[in-house]
Amino acid sequence: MTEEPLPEHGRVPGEEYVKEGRTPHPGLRPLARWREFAARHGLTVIALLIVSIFVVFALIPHYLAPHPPNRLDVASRLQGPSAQYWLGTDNLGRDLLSRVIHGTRGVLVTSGTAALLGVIWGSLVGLISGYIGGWMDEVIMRVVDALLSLPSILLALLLLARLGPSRVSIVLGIAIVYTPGVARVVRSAVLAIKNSEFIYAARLRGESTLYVLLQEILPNIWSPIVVEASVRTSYAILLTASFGFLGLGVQEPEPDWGLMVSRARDYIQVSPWMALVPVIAISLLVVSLSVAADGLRERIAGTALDTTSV
Amino acid sequence: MIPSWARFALRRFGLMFLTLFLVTLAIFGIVSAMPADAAQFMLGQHATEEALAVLRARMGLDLPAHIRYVRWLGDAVRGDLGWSPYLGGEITPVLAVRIRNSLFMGALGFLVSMPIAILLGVLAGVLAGGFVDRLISITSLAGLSLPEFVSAVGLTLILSTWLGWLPPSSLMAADAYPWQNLNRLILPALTVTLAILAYVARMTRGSVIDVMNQPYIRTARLKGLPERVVIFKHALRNALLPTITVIFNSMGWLMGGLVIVETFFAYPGVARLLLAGVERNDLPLLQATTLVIAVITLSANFMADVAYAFLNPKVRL
Amino acid sequence: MTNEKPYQVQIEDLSLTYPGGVEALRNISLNIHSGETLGVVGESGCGKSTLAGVLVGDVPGARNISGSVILRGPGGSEEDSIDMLTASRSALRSVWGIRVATVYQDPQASLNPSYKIGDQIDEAVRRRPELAPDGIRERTLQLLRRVRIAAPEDTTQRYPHQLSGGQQQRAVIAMALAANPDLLILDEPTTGLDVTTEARILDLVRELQEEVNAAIVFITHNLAVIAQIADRVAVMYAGEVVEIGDVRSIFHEPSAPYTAGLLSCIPRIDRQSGVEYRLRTIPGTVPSPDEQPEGCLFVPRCPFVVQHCRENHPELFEVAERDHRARCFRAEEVRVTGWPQERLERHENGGPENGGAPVLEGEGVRKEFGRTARRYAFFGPIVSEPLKAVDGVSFLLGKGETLGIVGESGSGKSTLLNVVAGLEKPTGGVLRMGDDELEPMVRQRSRIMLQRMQMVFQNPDKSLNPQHTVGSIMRRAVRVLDRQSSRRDRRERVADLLTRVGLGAHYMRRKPSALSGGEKQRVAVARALAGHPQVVLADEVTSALDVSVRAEILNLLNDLQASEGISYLFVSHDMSAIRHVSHRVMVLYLGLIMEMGQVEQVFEPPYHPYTEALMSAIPAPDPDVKTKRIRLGGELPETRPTGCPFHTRCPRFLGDICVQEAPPWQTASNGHGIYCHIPLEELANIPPLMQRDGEEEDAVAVPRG
Repeated sequence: MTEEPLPEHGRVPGEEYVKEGRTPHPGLRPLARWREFAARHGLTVIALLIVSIFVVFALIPHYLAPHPPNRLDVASRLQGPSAQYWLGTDNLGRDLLSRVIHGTRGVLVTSGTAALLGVIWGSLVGLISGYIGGWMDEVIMRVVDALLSLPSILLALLLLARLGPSRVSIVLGIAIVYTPGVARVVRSAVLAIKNSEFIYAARLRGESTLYVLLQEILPNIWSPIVVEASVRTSYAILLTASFGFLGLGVQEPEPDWGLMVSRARDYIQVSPWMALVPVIAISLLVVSLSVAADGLRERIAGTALDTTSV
Repeated sequence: MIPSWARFALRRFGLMFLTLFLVTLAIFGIVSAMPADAAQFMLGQHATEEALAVLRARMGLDLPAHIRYVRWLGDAVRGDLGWSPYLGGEITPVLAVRIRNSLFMGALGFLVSMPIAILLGVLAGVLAGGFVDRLISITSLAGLSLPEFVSAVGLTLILSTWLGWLPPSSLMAADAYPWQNLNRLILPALTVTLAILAYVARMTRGSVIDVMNQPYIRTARLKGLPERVVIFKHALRNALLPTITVIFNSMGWLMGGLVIVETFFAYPGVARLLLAGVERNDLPLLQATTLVIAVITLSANFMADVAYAFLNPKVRL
Repeated sequence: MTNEKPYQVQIEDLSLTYPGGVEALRNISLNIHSGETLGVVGESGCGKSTLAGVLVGDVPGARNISGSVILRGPGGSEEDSIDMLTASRSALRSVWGIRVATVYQDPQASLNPSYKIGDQIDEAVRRRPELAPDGIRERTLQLLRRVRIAAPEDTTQRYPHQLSGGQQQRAVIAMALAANPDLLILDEPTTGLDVTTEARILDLVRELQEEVNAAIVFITHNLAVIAQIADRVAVMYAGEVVEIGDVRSIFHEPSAPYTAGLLSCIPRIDRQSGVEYRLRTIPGTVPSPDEQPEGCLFVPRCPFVVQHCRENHPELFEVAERDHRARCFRAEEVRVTGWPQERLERHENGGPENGGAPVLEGEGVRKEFGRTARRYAFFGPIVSEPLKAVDGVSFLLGKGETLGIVGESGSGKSTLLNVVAGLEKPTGGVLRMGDDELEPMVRQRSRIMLQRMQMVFQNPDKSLNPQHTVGSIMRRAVRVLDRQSSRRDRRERVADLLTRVGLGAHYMRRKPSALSGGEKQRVAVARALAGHPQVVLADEVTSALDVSVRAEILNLLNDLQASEGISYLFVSHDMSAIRHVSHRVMVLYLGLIMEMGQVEQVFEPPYHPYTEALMSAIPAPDPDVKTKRIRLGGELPETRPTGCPFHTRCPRFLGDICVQEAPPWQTASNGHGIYCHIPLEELANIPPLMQRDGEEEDAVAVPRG
């Protein structure tokens, strides 16, 4: 009836044509793949470049700034850009460019640490609250709701007022303020997979809660956590700079961007440069970070989710 | 029979009080119950013993914390927010004026920004992926992530320094009627507007995109309805429902923004009073202002939920 | 028989590609006559739904479309013909809702949640006001009556979420009929609905076929549904039509190997109890759409393959009968010999041990959700009572035995399984394994108990952690459940387990995302076997799988039972799968056992009326076998009715006694029991359900409050 033997039943089904994990363009080299990514996400790449320039500022300000940040030159105060002072001077004749470069480290370290702490605490709370559930979840979520119902800057101000204004208080204040928001996001990610059948399978093997949380759940919610971290960092910069502007936690002559704007406030009719330079620095950094975070989120989630809550 | 949205509203009302209770605990806990001696904290290192004793007695600091909490809460409910060293008098009357000022400016910002925000969000959502969408998305992302003082500097430079249309500051007597000084209000109101405008526009866009991908939109199209009807009748009704919540919830955002904006423009609002409390270590003032701001944002959230429930047929019937 | 009728739709050489070179449709040519129902059938990924999109000219994201899709004018006239592929958006819009109408899978999602049903249908009616001489709303009510909605006036005032799934789908169908379309497309209209609801929607479609003169395209993955509903059938495989012809000739003389294979994969409830036969399967999977082999696309899975097939691509060749064509060089042989078959050696070793001690025993198992709520918290009238999901269920499971548990969704079958597993806390009852009482929750149970009982789940995509490899998933299971201490032993044991479920050791390096649904389910079975369990709980393990894969998994479970003497609690809503694997069957309704007995006893008279209705709801995969229509009235009630819980929907309702008194547990023979007021003798006189030419009268229940 047939010239060839029938395929054996019970053999490995489709062994020879099941492909190893499918990648869209398996042939592309890493460099080419990067180039393709850059072409598709041009804006994200530019944003990442700008962010890395600021990171370099923060790492080696002394090599890059043309002047010491606090050197006074009263003779040439409130000037516009010139050959000597590329971006002009402030009311005490200090070089604005140098002050901005020197101020980068403070902003990045403060907000980065705050965001990192907030994300770590929030993830812990969210994991536990989401997985354990029950009355504990109920209580935690009520507290989270209460904290989230206050404007974040208000809560941070309260904490700062009591902790006494310092860099450390700012970091702690922002971290505490962001903890409930992160907790909510992580909790909902946990809830989405908590009733997955692979979690049931682990429970049926008698795995401990810790094992389930760390080995089964955590690997599956990395993406929202990473996205949270990147978004929170850019909001933390916003808050840090705002505190500087309010004169909390930083003091003259520290080259803090927010503080610089606050000082420039009184001279805004006389010399716009003094306000413009730090404002442009903040804008560049924050917008670049946001765009990069949005690109990251799009890449991870496949869509730009709009669930930003601050 | 009570309609189900009203029952929902009632339950939500109860929940709001639970949240408010937790918030008061948090505020009182942070401000008053921390270990340091509050009187010393307020008066500084060099205060005399008599001054300290007077203040302690005045604030009832010799009482245990839980009694002070209950008293504070009881007084607050009756409209007495306490006595402030910085103001040198009762807080309530001053705060009332400041609240009026802040709310007036906030309302001004809201009225201007919300229609624009919804329009931009819908436009971007319907044209998702196109040039207009990218432009609106990126601009709103920027608007969302910039601190308010940045946009304040920008707007001041353009509208005041260079064009000379508006005064750069909103300084006015605290008890003056803000509506009599409208030209001083425009700059701060615009600044406050920008951030929530970006926020609401972005959320609206997301919600519109979400709805446009629903199968019932395909059903409407395949009924042969014109695209205009598909968008305005079938998509927007569902897409704007969550936006209502977003709008009310952006009230909190607005209050946060006011802290910066009032400082920048020297506008006599509630946020400036709060900052004064922070700077002068005036704990009663700090407590009172935070409490009032919390009540405002909580009621906005409550109204958001009720409006949503009222308009959503799934909850309504 | 339909050839005399004019064409309504002509598809010529249609091909469609998605971005990335994915060919969704390949050279499709077919005609649809007006007044006929063309059934389109195939497994997932065959291009069925893309075809539905092309028919209305709406395929978002498609890159290259070639060929033509001509929709002719009313009654198949040449005038007003329109090519759906090239027509402008506004031309399409003038056709949509007037000449073409569609019904999709998920009715809840297809209806706008913000508008009342009446308004949404009005909108469709307004497209052709000339059909509504008595006013728009009057026509809407007419349409609702036409789709047999009981209270049309009331329904128009409701929002979609206030209707049940079946009613929602009726409303969507009413909307589609509003303008008397020439072409009606039904894309998986019953998928996702409960079997009993599905049966009633199919009844409706059959009735509509008589009433409307439209060409109907009915798309489904379910061959049995096609057999009962289509005049002609097109079988799709990997974007091609591989066989097309009259429904009888397709089902009786399948001539493309794929069709023959599919038909032989289906477990049949109208045949002898399935346990004696191994189900036939189609090895392998549908090729991914970006592959473009030179020869026949079915070569890797085909038992009839010859060298010629590998090098040449077959046309649709005419088979014996007129208008029956198959895409196979060896169609004639396929038609004559059919798909190869194997016998199952199951009862020779293994099988249930009669008289032995049960391995698992449940006594009065109960699970309630929620608690009594009163109007004013602690006093006042009771507003809601706890939901009794499982209400005092007792069962025994012998060694090497399969106990099938069947019922609609909401019957409590999955809850029962979760309680046995210890994932949900029971509110009453006792569970025993051998001589030991089982602790209620899984975390309280000893390791030995955990080893003895494992579970396989419904959704293969969710049952393996996507972040781990198959190897690490299996090693962990072996380490925890089998206590293999050395790394080498663990590896060997994993390889052994994977081989035993028909996969190889080379699967260890793969991640779940690189596996097909059937392969994932095999890994899940292997994982459950890690600790040499005595009992495996199987929760709807085949319901998310395609027909051919389903057969493979059922065979695998049977094989493992034969070789290892495992006992299964096998939960399914699929009566045919239940019949195929079970030794004994338990029928659940609202958490109560309605009928229990040996599989042959349950599937033969005397039936419990509920069992009878469940069986009757299953369409037979043979156009000549008509199942007697026993239809349930109404929907699954939210709170349990008084007396017999089934009385509100029972097609054999007796009267007051059913409303007032709980029925007696009547035992027939050898452990077969029925929970019903109707005397056994009377139930025994009911003739069997399936017959070649149904003459019995149908029994259709009218919903009672």
